[in-house]
Amino acid sequence: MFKKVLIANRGEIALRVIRACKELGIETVAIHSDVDRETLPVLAADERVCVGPAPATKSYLNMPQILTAAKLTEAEAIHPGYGFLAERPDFVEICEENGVTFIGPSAEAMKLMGDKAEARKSMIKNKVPVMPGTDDVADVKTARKFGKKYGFPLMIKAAAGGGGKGMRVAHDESELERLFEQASNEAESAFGDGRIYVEKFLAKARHIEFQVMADTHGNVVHFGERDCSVQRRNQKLIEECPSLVLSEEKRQEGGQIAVNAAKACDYVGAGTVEFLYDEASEEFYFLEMNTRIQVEHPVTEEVCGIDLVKEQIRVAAGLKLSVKQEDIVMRGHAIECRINAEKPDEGFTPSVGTISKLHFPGGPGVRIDSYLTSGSRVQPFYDSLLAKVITYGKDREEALTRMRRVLDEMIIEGISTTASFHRGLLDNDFFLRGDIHTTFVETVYRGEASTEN
Amino acid sequence: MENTENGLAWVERLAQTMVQHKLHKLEFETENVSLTLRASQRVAAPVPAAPAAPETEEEDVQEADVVLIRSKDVGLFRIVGDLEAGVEIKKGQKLGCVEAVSVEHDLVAEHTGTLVEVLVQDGDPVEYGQPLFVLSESE
Repeated sequence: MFKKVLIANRGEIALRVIRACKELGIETVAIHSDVDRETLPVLAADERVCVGPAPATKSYLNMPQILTAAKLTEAEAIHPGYGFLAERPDFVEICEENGVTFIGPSAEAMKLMGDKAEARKSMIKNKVPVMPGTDDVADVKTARKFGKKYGFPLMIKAAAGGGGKGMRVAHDESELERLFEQASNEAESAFGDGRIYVEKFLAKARHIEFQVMADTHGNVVHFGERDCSVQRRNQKLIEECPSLVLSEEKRQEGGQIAVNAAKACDYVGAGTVEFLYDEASEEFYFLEMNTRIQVEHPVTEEVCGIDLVKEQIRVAAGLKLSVKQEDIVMRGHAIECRINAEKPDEGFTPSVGTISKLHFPGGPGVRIDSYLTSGSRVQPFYDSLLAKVITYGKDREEALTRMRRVLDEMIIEGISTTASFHRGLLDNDFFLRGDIHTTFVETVYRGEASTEN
Repeated sequence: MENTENGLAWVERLAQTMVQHKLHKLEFETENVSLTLRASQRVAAPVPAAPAAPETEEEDVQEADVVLIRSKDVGLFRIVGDLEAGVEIKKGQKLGCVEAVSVEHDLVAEHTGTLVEVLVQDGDPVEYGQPLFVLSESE
């Protein structure tokens, strides 16, 4: 096992990793930008190194400085968290060249899954079901031909995509021409890669993803699914485990497909295989594989009774998975609400400032992963996620009741948050009966977002 | 500084403070504001009504600009030459370098002046923003 791990991230996930390290008896090094000096993860770590000024490109994305910090502090491994350097194969390679273990998959697996068009081809080869689409990168002409054959709407996607960037839904041919260009330009500026492919678009699909974990001894397991259908513009808002719509049979089928997808790229570590799930036909369609620990991993941890981050660190150190597939049992129900520093009444624009008053509720079945303290500055430079509120119950109803109780009691003052938006959602009839799909928030639940557009 | 108007009033007040105390330079830094005010000769040294020349000059020397030279990089610091308090430094002079993984970053003086204090030893690990030298800037 490692003696010392450097955490190349900030905020709640940095703290989450430090907590896992502490429980494993591993010393921790926090890296930080100069504006994050007083934040909780930096204070909680055994050692800290300031690697640059506030802008992420000069600090949290500054590979040479971070790697030097690892060498100076004699950290044996780097945990990238999510975002920042978590899915950068060039960083994995630099770590390897310098004898530092990257806690995550190989650069090759990351490259394959990072190129959405290549990943799709590889999945087809390995009999993982994909949405009908253009086999490779397309131009407008091929896309138009595909639309004629399969019918509209179509989903336009960036080959290098992620985070909803370069994604558009085209409802007819003229929209396709216009949006294709737009998506390509957006992808070009976001990823430096404007390649596009198109797929058939399911208007009422659920987003269901499977958590997998693989060790270096060839063992791969899955920890069941998460339903992340409540999204706003492809950004997840609420995640739950298990999904209301999967039978045990479909769960095992989806889990097995996910395990096969991981095996297809010799995967090591924690990963998530994302699917669109069509309730009517009960079919899974491969979306992408995220080669990192995800924001929403806690709902799986609560239901499966496992610490995924600890497991991830263990397999990176070369240990065998501590569980076998048959040991993994899903019990109860967990829900996560992502509380962001945003103004839900003003089109979810970012809110920055100082937390003047803070209270996080506790009690049975409550878990809050957050880096906030009273007096924390919420910086404009980084992701707006403030806190992940997770509630657990013996069933969905108990988890939901707890979530209402927690959100009613929680106090975050000094900035605007999305807590009120979530609280409204928890009373929505469609959400309560589980009648949700990926465009539910935009098309059904307008709630406090009604002033938007 | 929540809004520009307040900010301007605040800078005005700082400027007045500088005149009052005959400061040449005032550096101010918080999490989101970094401000350096330099007084022009006219403002900083107002001609006293009844000149008491020697005293004023002495004060000027004592209140010369003191600047912190900070590391811009993470790595091991290597000092160049014999740097100690009292040594004259020229703008552009190399004071040392920060050895990072597979690359070295030179640390070059941005001001001419005299070293007041050396805060780093050869071979020390340094981080971004760490003060390494105190320099008394000459006019």
